[in-house]
Amino acid sequence: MNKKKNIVTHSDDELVTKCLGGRKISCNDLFKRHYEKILRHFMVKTRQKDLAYNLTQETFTKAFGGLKTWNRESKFSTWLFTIAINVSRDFARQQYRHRANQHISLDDEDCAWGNDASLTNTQNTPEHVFQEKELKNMLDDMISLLPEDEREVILLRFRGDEPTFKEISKIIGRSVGKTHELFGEALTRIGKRLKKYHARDKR
Amino acid sequence: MTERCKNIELRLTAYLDKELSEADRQDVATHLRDCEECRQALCQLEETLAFLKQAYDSYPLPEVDLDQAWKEIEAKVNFGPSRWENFLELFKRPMIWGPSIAMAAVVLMFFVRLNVQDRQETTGSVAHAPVEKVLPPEPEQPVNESTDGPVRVCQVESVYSRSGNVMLLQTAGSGQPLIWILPEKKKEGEKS
Amino acid sequence: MKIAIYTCQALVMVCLSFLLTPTYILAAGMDLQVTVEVVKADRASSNIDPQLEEMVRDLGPTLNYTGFSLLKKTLLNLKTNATGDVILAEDRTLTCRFLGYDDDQARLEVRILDTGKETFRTTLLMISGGNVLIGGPQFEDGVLLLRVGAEF
Repeated sequence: MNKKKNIVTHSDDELVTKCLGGRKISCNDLFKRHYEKILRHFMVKTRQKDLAYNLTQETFTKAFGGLKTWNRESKFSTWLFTIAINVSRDFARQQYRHRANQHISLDDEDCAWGNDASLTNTQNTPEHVFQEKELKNMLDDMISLLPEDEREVILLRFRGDEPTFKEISKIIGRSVGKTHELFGEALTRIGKRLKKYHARDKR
Repeated sequence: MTERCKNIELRLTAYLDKELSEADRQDVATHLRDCEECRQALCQLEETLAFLKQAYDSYPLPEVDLDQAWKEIEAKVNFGPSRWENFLELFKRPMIWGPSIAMAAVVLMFFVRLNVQDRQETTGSVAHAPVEKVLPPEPEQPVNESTDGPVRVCQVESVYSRSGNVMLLQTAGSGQPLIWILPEKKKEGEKS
Repeated sequence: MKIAIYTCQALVMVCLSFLLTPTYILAAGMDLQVTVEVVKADRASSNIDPQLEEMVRDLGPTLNYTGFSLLKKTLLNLKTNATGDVILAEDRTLTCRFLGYDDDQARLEVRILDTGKETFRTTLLMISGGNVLIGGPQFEDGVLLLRVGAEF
């Protein structure tokens, strides 16, 4: 279809230029192209539909509001994720303050996100969906046991366009070495957890 | 786990990502050849990465109406007027629509006038009175330059013939000039 | 922006002046379109070329010819002082020269040359859509009728 062709043919750089030039269709194309990445990021992080949706919207609102500030040196998606990370950090801080004000326990950082995964699909499910649900639950479990900074790195590492550690380090605002370290530690934790799952399965 | 192994382990992820320098990569590769523990660590790492990738990519997402989502963003972000809106904006100013309308009206009148002119000219040349006027058949009828009614005719300003004999007549119908060249008289001396 | 406004206004001025200008002044810059119809008229036949019916009707009984045939019809586009030729017969040529506009008339000089020598000359004041008939030169078993029309 013609519309789809347009999204594929123009680079992010071209779309941004056109969008800034007043061509709203290009802004929309940009939005559609990157939407799922950001939504997925927030969905895995928060495990809550509405929250993920809102944080995604906020990310794009900020992105289009400040489109001129993209310096075009880094990839557009890298820039977009920087905004996403800032949005999620802001939110966490808000929640933290909110809970602090309400004297709720601050021990578990995970409380910032809440623990209920409010996705549907509880009916009888075919094999692959069941497996997906399994994977999802496992992922939820593992992500939740990571400290925030490791979580950030893990979630950024697995987005579709496979960013380099250099890009991730830019996004989270830390050195490349530290990024590797965080990633390594996260993987170790997850690895150990995976082993437990496998051991359980073998029983 | 030896110190060396710990060192290698730290670099394993970069190794898998091919983000190590050539020298480092060689270093790790060499160690892996000899160290079973580290090979297992690498295996574990690969498995974890594969799992994470699959789990992440297949994570169920909520259904989102992209058009609705976009509308919400458009409402919040001041995109500025699109080029078309900018163009339309121009027409709100009297300085623009005034001359534009005037010009459009002028062009319209121009075409109307052209059409009218065409029709006039066509009627002019075709409106020969079908009724034959019977003029007295005198060959030397003087040229009647007065026009009958509104139909104008061509005029003969001057005429010369080597033969010397020319008749100026009018057509019976439209009264257009008719110049008749009489044949040369071969007799000398005769003039008319 | 300002340039756009001024361009619009300039265009309006141009269009208005064009509209308000009488046709003949406009014609001053235009070519004169001369149509020359070469007709053979005779008394031997009674065939009238259908294209000439209108001309014959217009002629009326002034000349008592019965047969009319259109030998050729030529269109000349003449700029001021330009000449156009129409070959009448082997050695006979009709030459038209446009002398320019005079109010709403076009001055046209028509000559007939026989083996290069002028046998006839007339200066006509043509109106647009009007025509003049020149007749008389011998041709075969009849005479030539030349219908000179102008359009501008």
